[in-house]
Amino acid sequence: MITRVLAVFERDLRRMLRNPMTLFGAILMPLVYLIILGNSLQGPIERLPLGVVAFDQGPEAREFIGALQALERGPKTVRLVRETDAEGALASLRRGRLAGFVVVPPHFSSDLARGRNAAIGLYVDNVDAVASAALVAAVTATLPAVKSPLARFERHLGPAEVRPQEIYPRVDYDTSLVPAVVVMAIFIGSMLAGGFNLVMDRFLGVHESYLSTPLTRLDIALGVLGSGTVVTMASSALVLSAGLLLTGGRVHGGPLGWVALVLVLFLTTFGLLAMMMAALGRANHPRVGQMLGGFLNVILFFPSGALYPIESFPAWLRVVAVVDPETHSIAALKAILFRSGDLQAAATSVAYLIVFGLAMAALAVTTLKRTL
Amino acid sequence: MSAAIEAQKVTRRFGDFVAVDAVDLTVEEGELFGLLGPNGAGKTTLIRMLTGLSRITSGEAFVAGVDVRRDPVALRRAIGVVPQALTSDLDLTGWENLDIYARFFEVPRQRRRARIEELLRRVELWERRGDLVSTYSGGMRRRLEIARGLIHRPRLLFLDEPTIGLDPQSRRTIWDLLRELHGGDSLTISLTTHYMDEAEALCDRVAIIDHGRVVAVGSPAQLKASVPGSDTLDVTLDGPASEELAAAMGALPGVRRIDREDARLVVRADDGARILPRLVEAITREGRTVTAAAMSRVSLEDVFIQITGRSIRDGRAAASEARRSSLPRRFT
Ligand SMILES: Nc1ncnc2c1ncn2[C@@H]1O[C@H](COP(=O)(O)OP(=O)(O)OP(=O)(O)O)[C@@H](O)[C@H]1O
Ligand SMILES: [Mg+2]
Repeated sequence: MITRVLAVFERDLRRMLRNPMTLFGAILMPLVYLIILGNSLQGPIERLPLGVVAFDQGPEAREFIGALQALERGPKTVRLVRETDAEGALASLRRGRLAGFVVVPPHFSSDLARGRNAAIGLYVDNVDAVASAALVAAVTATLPAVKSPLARFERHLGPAEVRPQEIYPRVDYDTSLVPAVVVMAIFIGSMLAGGFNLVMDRFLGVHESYLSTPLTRLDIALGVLGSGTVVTMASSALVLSAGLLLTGGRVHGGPLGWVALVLVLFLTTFGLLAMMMAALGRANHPRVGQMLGGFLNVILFFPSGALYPIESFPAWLRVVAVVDPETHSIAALKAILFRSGDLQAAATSVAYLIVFGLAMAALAVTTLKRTL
Repeated sequence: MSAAIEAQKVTRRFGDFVAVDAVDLTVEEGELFGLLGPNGAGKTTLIRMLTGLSRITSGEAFVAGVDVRRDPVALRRAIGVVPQALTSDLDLTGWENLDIYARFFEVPRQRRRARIEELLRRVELWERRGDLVSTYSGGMRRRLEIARGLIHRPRLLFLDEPTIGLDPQSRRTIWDLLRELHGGDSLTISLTTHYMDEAEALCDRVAIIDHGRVVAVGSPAQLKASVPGSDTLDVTLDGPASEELAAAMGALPGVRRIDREDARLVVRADDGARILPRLVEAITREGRTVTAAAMSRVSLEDVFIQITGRSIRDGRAAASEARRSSLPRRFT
């Protein structure tokens, strides 16, 4: 049996190595993701058009407008647009010409002078969550310029989020994407090695030829699992190294950190590969495989907290995130890479990955026994 | 058990559709046996059952003395299979392709090398052993797959449409190879084909299969003998042939049947070579001129038409073959 499994293993490996373009793509694509996503998400937000409707010219109102102008000149977060009335400003907001606007009410200064509360209206276009959050943060920060404890904003949008405090060494957005692209590389690798190759072999009748020899379905499944694991781990290790090199990140925790890293790569690869084999075990046409692969990518990658904190998800998506192996893989990688080598932080994630991998391997073997 | 293949009432259903319908078949040890039938006749399905790749719905089959349904492993060690689709690995070399199959059969390393070399020389691919199969022609790939089917020295080789889609020269090469394996090595061979000439040129015995049923079995000569008038004479006149002329010619001794088609007379006779000069002479005596004459021997095609009432290469069949040969060689 070992001889037979090794023959399948070696054949798959040879075949993959002789299609270097495919492998190259499997490595390059996550890195391109890293570079493009890292840069597109990382830069400061600038020159958001902010409408200003001032019905009051009193000293406090002028202080406030002055602070906005300072914001426009300094960090350049906003670009001020004079508006004469609130209706016009609202119309512009709706058409997307303004990212938001402020309304200084007629009696703002005098109310404050008389010791009454006074609110500046803040309207924000919340279609783009990131831009609106940046705008709210910037505008809110100008309030202390109005030297009155009674001045406040009346926000016309949902509750703002409280950003968690940074208690670990600061991680640039670039670097924080590295675990995500490594997991993406594992996904792509296992999709090619465990999914597409399998479906293609079945489609072309290669498996049928195999099965007219003493080769068993289990032999084929083990051979594919083995070769897929080797190739995928190699390509994801390359992506990890390149990612760390590009972003200047490093592995914490010394040799143990490295061991933990390899373990997580292995568990993720094994789990995703087995999942692919189970999922595509039934597909009998390459198109079905591609469709299923794309689908799995979306439902696994985005809910994994790879790009945006899981804490921001609605409840149902959090449930998806919890069962998503990529969530745990990313969490484990983040723990090892960024939390100063604190391996205990990765323990539950690793445990989940082990359970997931075993379950998928069992599923893959039973599925393939029937369908290969 | 002396028969290489012994099938009794072998049946395969796909839902309500009966692809193979109670086939009885006996192939003797050392025979080169052909399953001849149009596209969709059920040849592949039958072969897949006999080689243990597809479930037998009912009936039983013994191949190389092994009960197909009982002992798939013993079966696979005893037989070699060359499937209809080309399944050699394009990204591996010819040598590597044979090597992995040798390992599937757990042929020990030392014997592996010698065996692979012997086979590659035999199918005339030794010079190309180090080239990727993606650079091989269709005929070369098929030869490689025949070698692959022989890697473990099977007693019985199954080939499903071994020459489909090949040019005439490559077909000849495959034929020669099969003859050699059959004659020199007294290997039992069972092949399917929908080429009449192939069955006729190669096979000791042929089973004609249509709509999942075996409709005739025998040597090509026996089968042809079942068609009245073994030769066809096709004579063209200088103008339309009259009914009287046809009747007169039909009365010539040795003529079994005559059909009139405008300026053509199609004559069936037992001994065409002797009838033809007399026919021409008789026509000339009637004051007409023969402008062309051709003679053909009865073929298995005629046998097929005689039995089924239609030609083996009817519309649907041709379309499905075109579809198959346009299957892309590679997806990446
Ligand atoms: N898996 C299947 N499910 C349903 N029908 C099938 C299946 N396999 C074959 N058939 C049907 O069984 C019939 C016989 O098919 P088969 O492939 O055995 O024909 P064939 O004689 O080999 O034809 P060809 O010359 O085209 O190879 C066809 O009508 C085909 O559609
Ligand atoms: Mg067929």
